[in-house]
Amino acid sequence: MERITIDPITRLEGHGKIEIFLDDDGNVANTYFQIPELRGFERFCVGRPVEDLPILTNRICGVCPEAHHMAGAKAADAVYNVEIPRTAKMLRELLYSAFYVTDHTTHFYALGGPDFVMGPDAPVAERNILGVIHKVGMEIAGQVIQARKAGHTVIEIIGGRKVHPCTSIPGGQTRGINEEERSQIEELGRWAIDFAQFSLKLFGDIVLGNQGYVDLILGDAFTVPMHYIGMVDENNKVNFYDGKISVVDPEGKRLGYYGPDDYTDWITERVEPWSYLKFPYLKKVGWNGLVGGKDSGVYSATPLSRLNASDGMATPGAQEHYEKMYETLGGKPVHQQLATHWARLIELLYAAERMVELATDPEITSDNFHTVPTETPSEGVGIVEAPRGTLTHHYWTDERGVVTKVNLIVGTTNNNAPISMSVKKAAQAFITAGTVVTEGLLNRVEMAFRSYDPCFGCATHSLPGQMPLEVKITDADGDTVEVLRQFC
Amino acid sequence: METPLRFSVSSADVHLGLSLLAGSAQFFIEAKLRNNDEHRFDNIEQLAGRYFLSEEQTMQNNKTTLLIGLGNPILGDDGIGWRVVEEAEAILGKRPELEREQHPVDVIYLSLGGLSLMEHMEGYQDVVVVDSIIVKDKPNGTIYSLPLSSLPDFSSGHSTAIHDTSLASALTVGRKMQMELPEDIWVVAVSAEYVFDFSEELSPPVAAALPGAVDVLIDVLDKDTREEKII
Repeated sequence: MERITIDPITRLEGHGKIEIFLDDDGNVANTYFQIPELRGFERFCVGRPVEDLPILTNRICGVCPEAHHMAGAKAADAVYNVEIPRTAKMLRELLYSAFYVTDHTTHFYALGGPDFVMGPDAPVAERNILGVIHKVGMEIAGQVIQARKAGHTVIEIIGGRKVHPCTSIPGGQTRGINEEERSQIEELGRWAIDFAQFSLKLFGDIVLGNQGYVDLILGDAFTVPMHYIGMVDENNKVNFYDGKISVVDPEGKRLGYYGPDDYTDWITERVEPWSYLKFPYLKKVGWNGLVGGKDSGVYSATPLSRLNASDGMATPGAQEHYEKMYETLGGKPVHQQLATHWARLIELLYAAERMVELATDPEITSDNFHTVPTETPSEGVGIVEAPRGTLTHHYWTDERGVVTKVNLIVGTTNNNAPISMSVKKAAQAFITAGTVVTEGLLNRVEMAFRSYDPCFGCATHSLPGQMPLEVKITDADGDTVEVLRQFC
Repeated sequence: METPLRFSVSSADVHLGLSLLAGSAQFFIEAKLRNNDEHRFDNIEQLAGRYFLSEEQTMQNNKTTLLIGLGNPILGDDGIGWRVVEEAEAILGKRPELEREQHPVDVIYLSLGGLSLMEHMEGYQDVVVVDSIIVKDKPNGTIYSLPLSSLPDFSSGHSTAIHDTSLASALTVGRKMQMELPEDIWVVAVSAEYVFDFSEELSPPVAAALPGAVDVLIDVLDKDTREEKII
């Protein structure tokens, strides 16, 4: 049996790794998906003042520091049992909406987009952001950079810094915004709405206008029924910053809601010997292995999950596209996991529309942006929707507010089991007895996890700056059939 | 049958025509988006800053070296980039020959990669990045001084970046959009291994390399004395 191995530059622990095991007939028997995890953050936090945590936690990850800042600030509010003023809440949500605009834009155009714009069979040398630019034109790339810049500008105005915001503290915000800043944010939000509408139009034309892609999305290979969770407001509409977490089963039936105070009644974690990463699942349904369906507590927390778990979007443009998506894909819930790319763009539009709603609220420029905490600190939970999944921070402190214990369930961790299942499903569909495994086939397997926008341990920026991903196929005799490594 | 792209950004109308080759099917798409409100695309550049900086800012950046401490300061040896730049900043302040008037240096500390990192370099002709590096053939604490172009760019051909592109790809993207970006970037890096555990401490071999890396960096800030080396 031929072995193909390309030696990677970094160590094995640094790999994202997909292992595919074949049975005697050459069909896929099992797949494992492993990602490296940064270690020891909880221990690192112990002994520090709780108000430092919103700043420290946003250094966990270079991808979504804003999400950690928000969850950390909400948990710290809860530790001090302080209700923050309405204006503070709106400022945080406004910053957070701007962050969603930059993050979802980057994912669609730089990461998920290449598969659709270039096609899954395109050579790897073209299946990247440069290929996309080449195809759709420099002007669009300029708009993408502008969209990122618009988001960063708002984050800097409200959050004090472009990427790692630092203005959310227990009790609210350290500063408010003036009329000039408000008006600038409103205009940027209006621009972002147009950009989001344009992106949805592009998606409609490129993806939905191509029967091959529609078949790929609707096909069995990427269809995995499971439970879904996502944050909703009091009207059961998607919200990123505040609300209850709605839980629905694979038939779309709402099992209930949980909030910061009872998340442990709903979510628990399972440890598997082959992975560093824990597998959260719905406690009330139970762990039944890496399988989908009503009897398995496996759930996902993605843009598609949020739409599945909600009754709609709180803004008009996004609601229109929400309805169109479910109409096109045959009703709720949608189990075709590649539709996550569509859901992500609907959320992009919602985030932009929400920016304008918040920026035009008369109270957004109010001076009432902080309530001084007066209660003795103890314990608190903060939950937000990170772009790549529900993010929960849970802090315990002594009576001085010094951290004694920390528990975090980060976005991608929620999706650990679903990613494994989706990867397996795709591998089973595309790699069968006698198939010649090509890069195009392996890319279809990779597409299964790419739709989840997983966040690897990327707080580290060590050169050369990429985490390698390894796809390894092993036959029934334990021989390596194929190894594909990409640096990501 | 490639049709050239037409994309005109006017006050109330975005018009786009593009041809795409997807799989084996070749097709043409015309996307048209109408804005209900006017003037949005006109003022985005004033609102958020163009992706081209103002002429004045570009001229200022052009004659300034941008020094970036890169890494995560709470992730063990990944904090070395920040530490080296912090020490160098303290020394630079005491060295009159490197006063800002003669040799202006802008210093920033970042925990970013890819597109975000590239966006910070806009307008600068000379950029020095200090970071940790993971290698397999040298002991931890080895100091590298070399241009970015000497480092392999593994992702330029791949779309598997988890949430961004490599810096080299990002620079290519930026240049394609006519952004003012440095021709090359000088890198001072210290080889490290313990970049997955949260800690504010450097491991002993990396900590031992700190003074040497600071010396290398100070030399590198003078463009004339730059040379590729591994210590």
